[in-house]
Amino acid sequence: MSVVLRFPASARASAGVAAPAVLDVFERIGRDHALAANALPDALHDCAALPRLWAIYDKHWRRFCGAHLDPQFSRLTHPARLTGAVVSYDRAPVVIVGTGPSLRKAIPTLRQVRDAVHLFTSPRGADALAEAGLTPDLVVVEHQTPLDAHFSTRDLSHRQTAALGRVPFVAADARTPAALLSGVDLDRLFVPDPLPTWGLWPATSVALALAAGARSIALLGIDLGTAEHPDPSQAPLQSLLELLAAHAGVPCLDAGEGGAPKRHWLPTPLALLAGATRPPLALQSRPWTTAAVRYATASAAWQRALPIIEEAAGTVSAACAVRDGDGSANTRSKLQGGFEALMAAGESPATRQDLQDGLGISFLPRYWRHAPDVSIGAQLWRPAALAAHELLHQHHHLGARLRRAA
Amino acid sequence: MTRILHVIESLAAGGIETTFLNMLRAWRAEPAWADQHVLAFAGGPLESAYREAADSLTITASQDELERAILEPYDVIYFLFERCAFRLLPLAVAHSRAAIVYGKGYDMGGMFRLNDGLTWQPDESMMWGSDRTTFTTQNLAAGFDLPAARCEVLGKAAAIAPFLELPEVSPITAPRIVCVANLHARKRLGDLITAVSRLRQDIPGIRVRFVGADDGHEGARLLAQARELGMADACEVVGRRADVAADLLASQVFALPSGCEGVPTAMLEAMAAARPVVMTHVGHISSAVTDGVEGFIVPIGDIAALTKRLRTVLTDRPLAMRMGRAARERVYPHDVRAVAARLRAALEQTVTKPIPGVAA
Repeated sequence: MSVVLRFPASARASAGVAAPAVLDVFERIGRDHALAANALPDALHDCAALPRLWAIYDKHWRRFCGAHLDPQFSRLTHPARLTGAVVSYDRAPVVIVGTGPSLRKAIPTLRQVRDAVHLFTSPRGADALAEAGLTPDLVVVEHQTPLDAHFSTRDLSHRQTAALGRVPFVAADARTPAALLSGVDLDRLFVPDPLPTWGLWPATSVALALAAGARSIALLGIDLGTAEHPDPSQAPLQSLLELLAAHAGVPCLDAGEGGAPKRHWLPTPLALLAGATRPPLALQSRPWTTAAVRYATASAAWQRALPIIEEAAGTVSAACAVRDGDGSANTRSKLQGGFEALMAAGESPATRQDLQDGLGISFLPRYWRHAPDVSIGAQLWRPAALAAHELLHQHHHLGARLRRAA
Repeated sequence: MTRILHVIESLAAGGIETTFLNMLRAWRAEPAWADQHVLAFAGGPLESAYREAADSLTITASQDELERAILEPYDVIYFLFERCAFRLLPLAVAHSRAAIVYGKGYDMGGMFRLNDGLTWQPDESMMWGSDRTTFTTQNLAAGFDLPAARCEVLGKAAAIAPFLELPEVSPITAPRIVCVANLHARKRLGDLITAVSRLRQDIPGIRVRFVGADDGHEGARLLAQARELGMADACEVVGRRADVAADLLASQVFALPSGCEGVPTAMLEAMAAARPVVMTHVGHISSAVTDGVEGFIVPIGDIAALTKRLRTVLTDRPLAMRMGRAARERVYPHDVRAVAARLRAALEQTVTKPIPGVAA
């Protein structure tokens, strides 16, 4: 029986509010551990949001977000000492601040309401706010791929920005490169646990705000295009935001003028959030796992993967032979058998978790969800080489990291 | 007739998008050899040009539509950009009978690999799962562990033809520096302003002109820096321009002090315009420029060296003219028509001589 990961009860109790059930479903699906909705823990099936959320997961993500993959193994050198969640004791409104065009227009009003709300944003949003003389309460650091994270690292180093160093709290997912967090005070840096993410920071921020107990949530600068021309590339994020708002249980407001309409986000002037000065955001923290424990966990996953790595090596070898012209029945049989073994490995939830969370592989998990067309015949060498090569190399790279650390 | 689908990230006016558009145009100018279809994840300023250059253009962000598009019966699918490959190539190799060619250039993964040594493992796996991989330069290809028979090095392409017609640097060319680049912090354009400020006393009339799309902040930051250094009148930020020939013509030297590059298209255009170039040791610039021959290469962030080299090419006009001529000679292999012919040969070979295991 799987354990359902829930948001810290203490946080919700402190805030005097029960976090909506949609958060548990959102967080659980985003982990990519279930191949089908019926494989999710029974407790989650009581949530009315589950069917729709799963449909979004299937439609836009093909049932694989990859939001928890750490193919560069950045978690091993993550500087955070703390984990936990932020709490809003007086349930102050939270404004999620993006860098869309509506932010610039709203800066004067944002200054007026600043003391009555909490601001959650991204590192780029923190830069934009800093230019306006504003400091957010929480910066959420997450990236869809290591390339995006590396891009941010370069960007920050050139701008010499100190924006991250000034904010009260920085929530950086475990995959964040250490270089990106070099200016952050370690007493204010934490790894959110659980991390409610599908890889899109505005949705993650909304989930964190709900978990913190916000009595209302507003979007600003999360425009997703314009009212006349919604950006189709933002459809996945839009779907998630609309779903979260529909089940949030608190008012969800869109304070960004001129952005794409979002169902269940009521267009509302930012000025309406003015009110009494709210107390600071609090962090309910506990020590995060030490680097030694993280290395030990990685090492255990590396060891457990060894049997399937043997299959992967044989599969790559057979795939290369077929690719290079070996049409013998024996070689093709080895290719077929090896690939079937890799696919069969996906039937075990524990193995899936080891290979995804431990090794950071991305291609085989997709084939576990959408198997290659068996009629492609000898062309099977291509998906087999793709998936098995990644598996082999990730195992090799993790092994090298572990040896260096030892 | 061969049916090809080219998959690209967007129709933004970026280096790869512009270069590939010029490839399509080069093919268009020849007798038809293939139906050329383009699938883009997002539109952009180059949309109408792409519509003219390709037989069809599909722009969609919908996963359903993207998947339907690549499962049409093509002979070859050519993926550019690691992001679209990461999203669609696994599906293509598992469900399509088309040959799959991965075009690896100076996208984010390529630049970070070359400049920072960042290894993004899925990139290499996608090459292993493809029938063939094309690379922009030999240097880039050398960073991946692939059988040589499955790689094609095309060379960095630029549409240099119009620039080859421009007059060389002459005795009356003003002491102007032009920098053509997207305005972004990673380009370190502020270094150039600082260098020019140090040259003002010695070189009266010196000016620097920045041409390129602004990321929303950088242009204003550069102008503010110029004001702080008291040289607002010597620094222009003109934004993106469709034709930079006039900017090159009015300048004596092209300079780009960037911290992250592959082989910049703008540099190749400047070389074709017979302008000496002052660049940084970054990316694979040394594949097209030899320090002291077609211009100078200085360390990233070394403003003293940048200033010294700019002073040399701005004050020694015969040297600037010699370097400009050498630059023009050096750049011919990068002509987009030549590179397009090499890519065409690679794609044709993939179709006509399929790698064993791939259905003809």
